[in-house]
Amino acid sequence: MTPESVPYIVAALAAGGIFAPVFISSAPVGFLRIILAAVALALSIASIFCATGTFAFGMIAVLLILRGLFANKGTDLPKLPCIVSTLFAVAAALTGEWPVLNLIAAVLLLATLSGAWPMHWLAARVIDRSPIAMAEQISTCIVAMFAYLRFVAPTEFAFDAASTLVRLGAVLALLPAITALVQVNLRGFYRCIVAMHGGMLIAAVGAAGHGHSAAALLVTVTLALAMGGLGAMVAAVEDRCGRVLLKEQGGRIWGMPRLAAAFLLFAASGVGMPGTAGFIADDLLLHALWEESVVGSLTMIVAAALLAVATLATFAKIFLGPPATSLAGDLRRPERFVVIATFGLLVLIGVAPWLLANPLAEYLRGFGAVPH
Amino acid sequence: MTHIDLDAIQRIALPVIILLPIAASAFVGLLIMASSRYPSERTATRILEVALTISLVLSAFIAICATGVFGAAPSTLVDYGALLELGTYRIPAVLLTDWKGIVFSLLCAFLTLLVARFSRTYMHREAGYFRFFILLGGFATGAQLVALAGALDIFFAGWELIGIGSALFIGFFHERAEPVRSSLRAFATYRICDAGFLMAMVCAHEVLGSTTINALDGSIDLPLWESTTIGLLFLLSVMGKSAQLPFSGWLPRAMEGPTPTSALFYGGISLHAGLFLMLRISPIINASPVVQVAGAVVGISTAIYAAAVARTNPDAKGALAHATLCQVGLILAEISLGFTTLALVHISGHALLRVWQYLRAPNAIHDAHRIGVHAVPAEELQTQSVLERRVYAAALHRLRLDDRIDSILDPFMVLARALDKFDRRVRVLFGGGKERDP
Amino acid sequence: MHTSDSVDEDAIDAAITRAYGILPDQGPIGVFIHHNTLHSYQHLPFHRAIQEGAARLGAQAYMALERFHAAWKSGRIEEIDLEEALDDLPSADATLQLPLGLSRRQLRRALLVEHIDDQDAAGLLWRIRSGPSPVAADMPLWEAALERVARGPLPATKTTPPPLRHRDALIACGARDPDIAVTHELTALCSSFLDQGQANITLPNRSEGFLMAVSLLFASGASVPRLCRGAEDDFRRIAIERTPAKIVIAAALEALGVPEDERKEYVIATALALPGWAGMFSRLERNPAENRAHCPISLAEFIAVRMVLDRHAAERSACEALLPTSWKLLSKQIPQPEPIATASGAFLLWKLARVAGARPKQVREMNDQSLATLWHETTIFHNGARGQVWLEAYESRYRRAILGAVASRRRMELQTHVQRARAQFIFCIDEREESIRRALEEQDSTFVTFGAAGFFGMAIDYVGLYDHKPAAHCPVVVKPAHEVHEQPVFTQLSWHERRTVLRDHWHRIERAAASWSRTLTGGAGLSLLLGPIAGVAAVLRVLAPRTSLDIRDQFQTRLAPRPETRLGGIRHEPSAPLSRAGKPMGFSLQEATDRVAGMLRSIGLIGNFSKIIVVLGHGSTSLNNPHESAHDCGACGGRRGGANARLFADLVNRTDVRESLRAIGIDIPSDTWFVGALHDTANDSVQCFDLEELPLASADSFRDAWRALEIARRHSALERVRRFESAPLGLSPDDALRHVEERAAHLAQPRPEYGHCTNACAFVGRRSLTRGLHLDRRAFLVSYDPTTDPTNAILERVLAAVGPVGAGISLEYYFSSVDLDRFGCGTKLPHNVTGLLGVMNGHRGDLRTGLPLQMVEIHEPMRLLLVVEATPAALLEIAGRQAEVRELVVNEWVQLVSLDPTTGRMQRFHNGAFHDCRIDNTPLQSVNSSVEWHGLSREYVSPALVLDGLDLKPLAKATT
Repeated sequence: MTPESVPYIVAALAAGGIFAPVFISSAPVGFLRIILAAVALALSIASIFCATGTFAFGMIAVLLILRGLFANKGTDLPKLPCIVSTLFAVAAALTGEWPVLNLIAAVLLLATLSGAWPMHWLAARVIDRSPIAMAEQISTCIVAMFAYLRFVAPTEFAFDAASTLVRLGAVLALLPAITALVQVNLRGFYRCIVAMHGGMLIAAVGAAGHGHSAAALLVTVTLALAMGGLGAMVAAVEDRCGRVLLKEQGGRIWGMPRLAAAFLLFAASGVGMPGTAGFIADDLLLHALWEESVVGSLTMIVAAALLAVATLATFAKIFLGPPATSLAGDLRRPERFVVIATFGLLVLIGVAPWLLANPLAEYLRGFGAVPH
Repeated sequence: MTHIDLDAIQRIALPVIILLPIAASAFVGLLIMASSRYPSERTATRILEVALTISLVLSAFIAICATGVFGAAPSTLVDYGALLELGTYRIPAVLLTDWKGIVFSLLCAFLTLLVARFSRTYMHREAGYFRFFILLGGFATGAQLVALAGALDIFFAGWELIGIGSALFIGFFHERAEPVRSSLRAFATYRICDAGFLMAMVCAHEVLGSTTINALDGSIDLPLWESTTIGLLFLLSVMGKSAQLPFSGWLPRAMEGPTPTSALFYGGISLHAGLFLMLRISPIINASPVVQVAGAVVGISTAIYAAAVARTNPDAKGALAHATLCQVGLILAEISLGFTTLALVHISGHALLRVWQYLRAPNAIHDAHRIGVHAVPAEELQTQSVLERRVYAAALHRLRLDDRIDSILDPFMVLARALDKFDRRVRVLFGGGKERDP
Repeated sequence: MHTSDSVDEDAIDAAITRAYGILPDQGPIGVFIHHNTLHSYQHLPFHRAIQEGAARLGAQAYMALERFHAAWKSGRIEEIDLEEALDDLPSADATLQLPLGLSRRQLRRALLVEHIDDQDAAGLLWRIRSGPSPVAADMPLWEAALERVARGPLPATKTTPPPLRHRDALIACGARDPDIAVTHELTALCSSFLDQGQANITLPNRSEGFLMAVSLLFASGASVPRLCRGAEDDFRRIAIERTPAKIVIAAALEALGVPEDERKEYVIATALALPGWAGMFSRLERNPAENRAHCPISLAEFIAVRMVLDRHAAERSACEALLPTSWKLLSKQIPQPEPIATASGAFLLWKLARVAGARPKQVREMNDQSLATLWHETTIFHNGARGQVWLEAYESRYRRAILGAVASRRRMELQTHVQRARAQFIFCIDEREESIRRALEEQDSTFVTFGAAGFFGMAIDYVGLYDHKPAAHCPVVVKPAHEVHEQPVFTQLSWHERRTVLRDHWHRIERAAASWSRTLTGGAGLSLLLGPIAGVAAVLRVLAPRTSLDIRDQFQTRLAPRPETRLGGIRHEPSAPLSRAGKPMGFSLQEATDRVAGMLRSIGLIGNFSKIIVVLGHGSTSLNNPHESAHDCGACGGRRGGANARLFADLVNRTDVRESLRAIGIDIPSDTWFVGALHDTANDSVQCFDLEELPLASADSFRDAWRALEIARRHSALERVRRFESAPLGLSPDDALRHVEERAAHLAQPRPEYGHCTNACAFVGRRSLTRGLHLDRRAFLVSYDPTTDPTNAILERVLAAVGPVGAGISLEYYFSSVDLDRFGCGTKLPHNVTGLLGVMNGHRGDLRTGLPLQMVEIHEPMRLLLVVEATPAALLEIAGRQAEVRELVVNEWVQLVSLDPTTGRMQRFHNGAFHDCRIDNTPLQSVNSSVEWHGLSREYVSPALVLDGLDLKPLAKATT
């Protein structure tokens, strides 16, 4: 892979993230949704190929504004999170001259999009509304992170802020991982698992400052694809079964085995199952963290372990148990293909990370990134 | 005999041995996911069995090559470059075919295929038939990765696959609550203990500059505290996977799974995988007397504990599980004390014996009739001694290990609840928390 | 701890007495005897009994409605059957007019066939959204229904059973389940207390009883489970004061705040919380002979230990969830169930409106009163009543077909044997022998088979050559008065002695190896020594199960052949020494003659003896199958019938017995020879006994019969394997035989045979009535000749034996297949043999009683259709005398049909009297051979006439 191909790969991944939820959501695939997704993709691609930070973040801002405008109609997004994240995106676009502000704005943008603590109250609003909306929102992270890697990470200040961000990220990952253990409904669990990945993203943002850009991008890709996919599966389950409480075993696997398998696969790749992007991302992130802070990496390891346990426990409560009778069926055909495609991407990056990571470093060097 | 480039053959064969089973699983999974009907049992099993057979044949071939009958044995280090290389950081794609690896690979391939053949009949018509074989393929790859990995990262991937497979097989009959609870307990134990592996791996990378297993040889030059730390962290992980004290509580619970997988995991591969890790990191163990002593103490105490439990356990699979654990503890001590070759032989013989015993466990009644167990009543402990009763109770109750761990976890769960409550307050404060119905 | 209130104890006594009845009555699994799972409800009419019993045990009384519905869809149940069953339902006024112009009957039919209750609202809405919509047929009506239901009232919520114990209430309130910890603890304690020889060391002081042993254990400082903390003090006090169990129970009830009047139910519920273990205590307490561990067993002590643990676990769980502990307060805290969702109600209304042909406007304008009436009608036609109707219809369909076939067959002329039969075969009545009997008869019209209860009148305690103690080989209701030993022949006595020593040594080594391998050093040594051998053995046994077993057997036979033996069946001197159990060894001449004569008379074989008569008992051998013994002969008390067949042949071949027989009118020609044999129903092998004694003059006849058996067992195997999905269809008979042999030898085979899975009916009558009918291995065939039984004395004996055995088998299969988890023992695969007593799932849990999935999966759960060739008057008279038969018949636990021997009229006993029953009048299909009929089908096949081996070929051709 040549460095020139990097934007194309990122665009492809972004496309996967943007279109996957469209086909899984409960509403029929409407014209408006497709158009919106296409426009979002166009803006994302524009952002990916932009040569300056102003334009790159500007495009993201436009994308977010567009989402906000069509909130409640084309998308299930509530308005407030769109407005807030648009503001951060605009700030990131306009503060290119002031690295400190620029970094803060970009990090806040990423935190808002990915639902990291403490911005998760905004994400919680999105998830409260509909998990599929969160999946759509997360897809923007790839583009935002790519812009960050090119225009913000190479700065001197990002280098200085790295170790703080890493420590912060580790804590932000641990807290939701702990709360994930005691959630009482499926959305609460989804909120926690996304927030935990948000924490990892913050840590990765920090690590990127020290040149671990591949780790940062892989973490983002895992977040977007695995958590996006998981969000879609959460939506699919709720669609079929109504509100899902984690009180006792639901036994839903009997009626929807493919949906259960997809849920488990996405969740597992999120918590670092070998053979998926999550494994490489975790591994890379750990090494990057270790250099910054041993305690940070320890925290992250514990967070990942707790989250893995919570994930299996949640899966067990939703799907396992004595057979539940339901009229609702398994994943429909388009949904199944989306699952295959999205998970295929995760596996591809998991077994061949060099496809993305190796040219990325080369590519970013063109933007003045410090080689690791 | 014309010259054969054994190195080249080995280079191609090894990835096939490792990846073919999971590829077969993925293929079957894909078939199911893509179509609305399930394939026939026959088709699915065929695909898996062919993959496992090829894996076994190639593994045996590598073993034969290594004996040198086809000329000079191929090199034991097969380097595929790096899975990922970024500056100083690389995930090396290295496989190691020394005798330890080959023997373990052969053992894994053989037992997996044996169990697959057994299960073709055993699992027939069972709900979850496909799940069983798909997971088995994933497990086979995990076991081969562990056996042949030349770098800790790859080893860890296999290690995790075995762990996931083990947990999902324990919860195989998930319509009842008990298997699911047991599965979670095993998985939680694995994950917590694997934190040790991850830290040790990252640590080793930092101090040795590489995560290849051969690089561990360099640990002899490390300062004692570093090799001790790394060694103990690895030991923690081994204790989880091999159910050593105080993490033995999940092992009897693992008997919830179908008998062939109990055989494969807890009689055969999974419990012994921990020991294999010990064999792989033996340079570190040798470098630190503290780790040696710790390993020996853990191993011996587990062996004594398990032997006592096995004597009092009245159910077939539970007794077998502890009998296995007893030997695993013993082997752990052997390795810690440096008898690695003996340990390797012991592992192989023991795995074969236990798999066979597990596979025949449901025959207990038939055997009892045949060999007249009833004719010789069990000895009753007619005792007035408080000590004897306590020892008996400790064995019967398995030291109440699960309860003890739960008591430690209780405050943690209180913390989690408090944190969650706080979080909910904060969200409500900012106007969230109003869920819309789906 | 000192509340020895007599009122209390009465309640507890009553509860324990009741618990004996309700708890599963299954003994140690090594000898599996089929019995009616709800035996203690047998005094009630069938439907009421099973609905009450199932409710008590939290189980299903009928197949799941979905299964009935599938049967309806597939045509297994026909309209006419459903109509009849609906008419039969005892309820007031089926024509009652309901709102929307529905009649009550219409509504009930709709509820049955439309399958519209219990739809989850979310799933329903999803289906409507994402299609194909289930309401697409009439959207305006759907909207009207939705709108109407939204205004209320809603259908009644499903009634959940009231909480019986603290645990039920705690769970309903969302507290932690206290039973998890208690179950774990009790499983460990019970299994080591009851252990029959699996562990090396058992519970200390178990000879002092369960309560004391447990109390002593905890009094010594053993820790109680974390969630039962506090129980150790109670146990310590019990150990010191030696408190009797009932007082312990009373104290615990007091502490839990259970009011006096609820105590009985509370204690029963406590016993039923872990039915398997409690049932084993109850069984072994009342049948101490089955307990091989030397410990006194008492259900009360089990309940006492449980109550102590329960109390503390419940208190703790309640405390954690901030709930009261007192039963009175706690049971009031249970939250109301959630109301039915509007969409579900609307869907129900929509379907009913469709059935009624109502318009949207009509639906919209329904008043609350009429809507409520509709909901009420659906509620009173509850699942139990629906199951009842479905089951009656399900049975009716089969009954019509099978009785129709018999009627057609009867219209053809009965076959009478003018010439001497080529060979005669006496089989067990077992329905599994139907196919091999048919396969024999198909070969020649002069091969004649008989069916007799498989112990052949030989009620004995049998001690085989290497058995350790006598085992009763007869129906469970009979207590044998004689013992029979298998003994080596004189010339091989010394070899026998040597072999016994060798055998004992070998077994000692095997036992030692099994127990050494669990020890520290032994395990290490054996791993190194035996590991490689085990690997090779595993490969051979998995890859070539049949061959490897053959090789092993041959090797054993070569190395140490079994000595030839004879049965000591006759006791010549009345003063001969008694056995160790104090029973006479063998029969006296008179006793032998009586038994043989009784047996021959009962099957109507009192003349026309052929030259060779083979008597076949049956048994079943399989590996890795804890339920192996369930496949053995029910009439032999869950053992193999080979010894009985052998003994019978041995006795009847004796000249002195024959002379005595002649004196009472049974003249067996001197050229007739009986051969005893054992048919293995798992691998379809036939093993003959005592062929050394076969007179040379009979050799040819025997060879002839043997050849026929060889063919027959192959065809029988062929007929069996079509039911196994793993055997390809269209095998050759030889391949089929190989397949079943491999099955029986396979370690991984959870279905060595399907056992009694196919049982459905029983015929008591002349074989000529059913000869030539393809009954698909579903019929117990009891040979009985009404023409030789003017006083019905024989019939009475036959029914008294066959009725309970047949009903026991049929009902055990019925219950295990309608609720596999509660009545049956679930799938076999996670079973773990415990204490040599039974199986439990996984590592800690209840003992599982009943039959596993792999034994019942193709079963059609119906009551046994018992067709007897006798007049209703005769049957009523017998039922009047035989209490057990009366209970089964009058309460309709079997469907009794009287087939009049002279007129052929068929009447079913139903609702207290015999009524003519409906039969299919369609002409019987006829085929040339059995295989032509069942050929390539894996399903049940309907009865057909098989012409091969029938003399009435031209006649039958003409009639069809």
